[in-house]
Amino acid sequence: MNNLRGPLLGCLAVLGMTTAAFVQNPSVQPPAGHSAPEAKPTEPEGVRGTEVTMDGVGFTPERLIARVGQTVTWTNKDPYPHNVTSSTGAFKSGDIAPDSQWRFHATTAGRFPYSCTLHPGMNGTLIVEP
Amino acid sequence: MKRSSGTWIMAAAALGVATAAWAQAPNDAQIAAIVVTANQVDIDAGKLAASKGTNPDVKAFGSMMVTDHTGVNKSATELVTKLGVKPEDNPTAQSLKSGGADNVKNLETLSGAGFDKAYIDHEIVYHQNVLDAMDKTLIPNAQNAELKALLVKVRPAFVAHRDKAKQIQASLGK
Repeated sequence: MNNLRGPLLGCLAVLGMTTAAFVQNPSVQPPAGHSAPEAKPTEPEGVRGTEVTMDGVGFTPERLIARVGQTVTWTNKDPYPHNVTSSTGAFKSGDIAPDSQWRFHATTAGRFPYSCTLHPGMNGTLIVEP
Repeated sequence: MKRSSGTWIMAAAALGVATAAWAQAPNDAQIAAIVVTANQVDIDAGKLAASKGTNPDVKAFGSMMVTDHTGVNKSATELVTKLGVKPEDNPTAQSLKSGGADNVKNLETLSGAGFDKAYIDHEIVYHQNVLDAMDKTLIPNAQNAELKALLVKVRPAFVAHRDKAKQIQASLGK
């Protein structure tokens, strides 16, 4: 933890300086006719790709972004079965044995939260873009 | 990383077994024996629940315990074989075994809703106690990196089992 203190303090210092510069310099304003930029989310929406690993009773990445027409593959690296069950009923894998895979061909855009119904707390989200 | 005998005794107590005066922390061979025994104990109870349980959720949970803990033991056995570690019997493993046998013996005297409740109640306590032992003794004292990694990898399954048992326990009360 001590090793992080230096860089952390450095970041805080930079943030403080930036804020101070903005406050002290009234010429730094959004261009006329434009509103202030929207705050960006602090977390990424998800990871782009087509592969999800089930390991340590978790989905990695937890949020996957794929496109319509792509096939997403879930691979079970745990020594026990898992399943991939959409909370909206969009897909349901059934049991996926250890070292086995299950594939889902995405045909509809949308956001699909899912879970392993065998293991509470094992949740993920598939985001399918047009 | 060596831990005091106090930590080891606490872990043994957490597993619900008789404490033994250990002079030092468990070694990898002893940890392997504890892991295999702890899983086997729950496999035995799970088999009974799958066949004797009345509530469908209790029966399904019992079957899942058999499947999941068999999977953990398969991984553990493959790893210790690869590492050339021979599980070493020890007082905690022995007490786990006798405690598991006592639990099965008690469950065999029960039936219907009484069986379902007793099984699920015990599963919650069992998984919590194993988690405590993993956190306080087994994971900290595992010397081999692969053995430690396996313990860390399967730990979330014990959390999920405990939480699933709690969900079932709540539904049985309704």
